Parts: sequence; structure tokens; C-alpha cells
Amino acid sequence: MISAALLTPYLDTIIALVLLYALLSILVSILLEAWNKRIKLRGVFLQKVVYRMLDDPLNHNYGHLIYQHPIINAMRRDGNSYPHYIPAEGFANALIDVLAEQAVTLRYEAREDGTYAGVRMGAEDPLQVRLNKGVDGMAESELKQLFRNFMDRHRSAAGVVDVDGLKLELGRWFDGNMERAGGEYKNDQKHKLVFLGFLVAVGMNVDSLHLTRMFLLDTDLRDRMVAEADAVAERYTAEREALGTDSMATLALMRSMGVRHDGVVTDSLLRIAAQRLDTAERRALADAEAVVEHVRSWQLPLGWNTADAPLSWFCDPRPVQLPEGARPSQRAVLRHLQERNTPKAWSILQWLIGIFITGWSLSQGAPFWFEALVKLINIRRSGVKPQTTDERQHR
Amino acid sequence: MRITNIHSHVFTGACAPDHFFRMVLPTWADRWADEIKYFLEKPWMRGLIKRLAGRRGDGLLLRYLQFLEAGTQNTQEQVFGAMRQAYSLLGPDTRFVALTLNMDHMDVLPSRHARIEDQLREVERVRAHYPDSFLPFVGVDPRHLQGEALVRWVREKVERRAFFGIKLYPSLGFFPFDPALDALYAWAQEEQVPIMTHCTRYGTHFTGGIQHVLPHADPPTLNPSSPVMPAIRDRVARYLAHPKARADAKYWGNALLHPQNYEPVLEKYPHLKLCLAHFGGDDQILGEAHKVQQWGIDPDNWHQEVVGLMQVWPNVWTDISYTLYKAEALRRILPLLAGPLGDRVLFGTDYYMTLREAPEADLVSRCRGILGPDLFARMASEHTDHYLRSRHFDPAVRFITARTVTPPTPAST
Repeated sequence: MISAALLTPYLDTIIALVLLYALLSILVSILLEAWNKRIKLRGVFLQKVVYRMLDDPLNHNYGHLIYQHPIINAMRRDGNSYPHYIPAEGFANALIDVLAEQAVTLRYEAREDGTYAGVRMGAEDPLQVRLNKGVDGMAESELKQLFRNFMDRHRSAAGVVDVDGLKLELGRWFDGNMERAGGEYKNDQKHKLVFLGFLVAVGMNVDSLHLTRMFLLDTDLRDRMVAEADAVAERYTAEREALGTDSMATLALMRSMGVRHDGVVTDSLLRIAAQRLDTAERRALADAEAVVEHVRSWQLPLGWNTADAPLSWFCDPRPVQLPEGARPSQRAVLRHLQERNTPKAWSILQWLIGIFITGWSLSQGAPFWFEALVKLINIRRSGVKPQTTDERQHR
Repeated sequence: MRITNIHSHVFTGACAPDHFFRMVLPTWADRWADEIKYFLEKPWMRGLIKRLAGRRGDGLLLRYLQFLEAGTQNTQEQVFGAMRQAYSLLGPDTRFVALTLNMDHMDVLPSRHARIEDQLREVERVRAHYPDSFLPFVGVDPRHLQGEALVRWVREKVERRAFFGIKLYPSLGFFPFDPALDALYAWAQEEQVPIMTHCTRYGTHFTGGIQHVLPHADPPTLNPSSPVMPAIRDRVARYLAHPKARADAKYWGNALLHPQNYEPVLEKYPHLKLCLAHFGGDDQILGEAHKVQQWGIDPDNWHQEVVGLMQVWPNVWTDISYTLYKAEALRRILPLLAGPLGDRVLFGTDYYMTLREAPEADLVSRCRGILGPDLFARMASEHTDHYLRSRHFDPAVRFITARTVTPPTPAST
């Protein structure tokens, strides 16, 4: 049987890697959010959701029509963007107007004074009457049935529709759809997360195989990371218990680390986007810097420099001198670095595999890695108390 | 004198099918459509693509850019506003015929775009705001409605003076001699409602495969006994047999657009008021050979074909829209414009398709300079008024904005 003490370095290495993935996943999320903001994706996504809700092939695409309504149209920042957020009340008002407008026909009659005069037929009717006529005039479809059901639930004995009640009902329907859209939005972004994961992996030269070796060989580095992971897991667990969801716990943790970003991991994405509309890009940049700064503070063997692979393959290698009385682990690190920094097919392949592993891992999202981190820390805590660096040196 | 631009568009990208991108990009690009759109909106990227596309002689990318430049506006009223502004020097009195397009059947994939009914509804709103200067035509497709149902649909719009004519765009996937259009032509001839149809070798086209539109070389026709039908069938067969031509709608779409396709219609409805837009196209006027001409599938010069139809049929018209951007082509047709056929040539620009060539105001002033003020005035005013006049619309009568809700007493007609 393998003793727990023997397994501890491997478990600690995994913990160190998971902590790094968790933090860099936040960076990926921030970049994704900033990029989506720049290309106005939220507005486009919201528009797609509304179009889908209100598309009736047998009548109209009411989504398109409500986007032309003055209430919604006024929410656009410019002629080339869609609103990032539509309040439920605005949606309900616009939809009711669009449905009622179906009962109004504009025609131009020839008059004796030699002009064609516009006449809005049916415009004089009260809103309730126009609404009834508008919906009744639609071709039979599922959407018509849905509207009719909504109206019937707010119809008095005299047959008059309570428009205020209908607005609330339509608002709830809209909100329900928006809640579901949050999850869909995340799925929709999966391919971009993969792309950005690889971008961060290459951009920061995060080679998972190299880091694994370094964590296994460099006990000081590993202990520092595990201590950090322990604290992070504790904070994360506390936040999760207080806030109830993994996403919110990740958010709170990010804030405690100086990152204010709260986009991709939230449940009500579209609502939050609206709250952060103006300064979002500036904040995203600051958030990304905070994450990078945090990673830098751990002094991990990553990033681009001419003494390290892959740039070292193209530059003259600088001999590394070990200090007098270097520990065996330091000698092992030196051997690994010399081997890695030499341009051989195997080291190139290892680097590529390491980058691939990092890229794929970062695309899994921060909540996934924080959850994994908590579980691993719990396993570690339930096992044999690990030796500290001092104890190891003493032995 | 009141100028009318007989050929313009205000539809937005929202009116095009979701997979419109397939015209210019491979399927995998659909997933990155938002990113691609973002980059295409950048002026430097557009300039680069224009250069590359120009070098390849490929109009597809450019066509998407046209949509982006004006079509990515969010409302048709915004597009119209931009066009109207360009005419401020020519006078605020200018009228615009806005041609709607039924793009609902140009793709075989499901789509949630603003369909024709939504497009028309939005257009009606623009018309309500500019009743005297915005005169839209109804985009018609025989796959949408057929026969009497189609007539009822169009007639209702024309009778209440919301729309003033009919727009056909055959390369979206139908022949103009489709039997489903028969009743519409009969009604349009009777009421003298003008029809505008796209008739150049280039333009927007069906985005699916040829098998969806041309399953065989014997398309149904409203005039089976027409003497030109065998020639049309032969041409379709040549397109079907040519591997390169049948592989891409930008080539086989020519089979749908050919001017000869209107002969079976005109034989049956000789007084149909039909405008074959663009005068055959600037490339054909200048004698530049299209690929399908080089391949020998379709060797006809469409400009000459259009002239031939105008000579035979007294109610066949054409316009100089888009063609006018090329000064040389405009100069080449000057003798025709001054001759008897010139009375049936209309002024139009094809806004916003022409934005990639030149700003609208520049195009119009350059055209006016080449034609001279008198000829320009006749084409943009007398001819257009004549063309637009129908049983339901007298171009001399002014529209006034809808203010009342109670119908006034109609004048005796």
C-alpha cells in the first residue's frame, strides 16, 4: 500500500496547478467579457433571444417589430448597436403596442382639394379594443394562442382586458426567458473560451508539463502555492456558504483578490451588463492587470524570456551556476531546465503538449477549477498531515 | 420640376436571412459571424477587402460590404434618412421609390430574419412619416403566395396607396414566367401598376444549391406555347450541364435573370408596364464578357437584349441605376437616351448598393453633368412620373400626412 506521505507531493502539485488554472481562467473570462463588449455581442445575443421568443412564421417576427418601437429603439447607443438590456416593463409596453397596431391600417384617400390624405383606420379605438382586434386578426399560430391565453387570464367578465395585469404577465414571461438565456449565452461562448484559453496559455507561456515538473522538484515553490491554495479554498468555501452559488462565490473571491469583474460567471448576465455599460472596458483592463499581477506575485516559472524555452531555443544558452551547497532538489531543477531549454524534438513536443493542456484547462471556466480546488484541499486535509519544508530539511 | 429616384433600397441586414454570410464565407465562419462583422465594420478592413475583392474580380465580398455600409443600420428609416440627406442640394422635394425585396426564400436553411411582412410593415411606418417623398414597391416572390392570393395581397397595399408598384428579383430563386405570377401580371397590366425587376448579370442571388431551384431544364411557364421557351430551356440545360456554372449561383443565377425570360410574359401581357432595371448592366454596355459568356453558355449581350425588348414592346422600360456610376457606360448610352427609346429610360441610382462606388450626391451630380440638365430633368421627372402613374396613383397629386382618424368623404373618381 502506498502511504499518504508518499502521495502528498503529487497531490500538492495538482493543487498548485489547479490554483493556477483557477486564476488564469478568471483572466480568460475577463478577456472574453471585454471582447464581447467591444463587438457589442450582448446586444446581438439579446436581440437573437427576443427574435426567437417572438418569431411567428405565420404572422410577423414581432421581435423585429418591437426593436423598431420607440421605447426599445431609444435604448440603442447608436445606429449600429442593439440595447444590451431591455427592462421587462419596456418589453411588455412595446409588445402590447405592436400587437394593438395590427388593428390600425393607414390608407391615403383622394380628396376634393387635390391631395391624398392619410387616414388611420381603427386608430380611434381604445387600446384594449385595438389589442383584441390586433390579436384576433392574426393567422392561427402557437404564438397567437399564447397571446390569447395571456389576455384571457386578465380579461374581466365584461370581456375587457386589464392591460396593467397583462403587462406584468408579459414582463414575467420575458424575465423567465432572459434567465434561461444566461445559460445559453455561456454555451454559446464555449468556442471563444477555448480560443482565449489557448491565447492566454501561449501569451503567458504557461507550459503545464514544465510547471508540473517544477512543482514536483521545487518544494519551496510547491509549499508556497499550497499555502495560497489553502487560503483561497477556505475563502471560497466561506463565500459559497454565505452566497449560495458557486458563481457568486467565485465573484466574491475575485473581489477579495482585487478583481472587480463580475461578468461571465454570474447568473443574470444581461442585467449585470447593463449596470456596467459605460466603464466596462476600462474595468476589464484593470481587472486583467490585477489577475496578471497576482500570478506574478507567486514567482512561477512562466512567461517569455530568452533564458527560458521556447525563446532559449533561438538564443545562446546562458549557463546557470548553482550556489555552493545546493540541495539535491535544486540540482534536479537545474537538470530539468537545461534539458528543456535545449532545442530538441522531444522538448519542443513537450512544450506544445504543455501549452495544449493549459489552453484546454483554461477553457473550463473559473467555477470549475475553484470547485476542484476545494475538493482537493479537503482530500489533503483528511489525509496525513504533510511535512513542512523545515521538517523535510531537518530529516 | 420634381425629381424622382426610381430605384433605391432601404432594407437593412435584418431583412436578410441569418445565413446570408454563406454567400461570401464558408459555413465554419458562421460561428464567428459577430467577430467578422466587427472587423468588416472597420474602415481599414473594408478598404483591404475592397482591394482584394477588386483584384479577384469577385463581387461577393463587396456585396456584403454594401449591406454593412448602409444595411447594418438598425432601421429602414435611418437608411432612408441618410439617402434623403444626400439630396438636400437637389431639393427637399425629391421623391424616392424604395424597392423592398422578399428574401424569405433565398435560402434553404431556417432563419429568424425580418420576413417580408415585417419589412413591409416597417416600410409603411417610414411612409407614414414621409408620405409625399417615400414611395415603396412591394417585393414579390412566387414561392410566398401564388395566383389570386398574391393578387389580393398586393392589391390591398396598392389600393390604399401604401405601395406603388411591384418588385421582382428573379435571381433569388424563380423565373419571371412562373405560372404563380400569371394572375398578378394580368392585374398589374389592367391597373397599369408598374413592375420593376433586376436585370443584370450581377447582384444578390439564391444561397442554396442549384437543385433547389433548377431541378431540370423544363421550368413551368405561364406561356407554354411561347416561341422563345425552347431557347430558354436550352440555355437552362447548358447551365445545368456546365460543372463550374452549376456549382455557383453567381453563375447559374444568370439563367433566372436573362432578359429573354420576360418574352413569354410580354407575349401574354403586351401592355404590362415592366422596367428591366440597370439597362443590362454597365459591363454589358461596355462589352465586357462575363464568365458565362466566355464559357459559351450564355453568349448574349444583355444590354442589347434589353434594347431589343424595348423596341418590340411599347411598355418595357429601363433605368440607369447602378450603371450610372460608370461614366463611360453612361456616355456610351447617350445616343440611345436622346433617341425615341430614351422616353422609357428612367433616372435611378440603386442607393445604397452604389455607396461602395461613390457617395450618392457625387453620383447624381456627375450623372447630371454627363446627361445635361434637360435630359436629366426629363428622365428624373417626366419619365418617372409617366412610369409611376397607375389607376391608383397620380404622381401630380400631393400626399398629406395622416392626421385625422375619421375617414373624410372620398372624392368622386
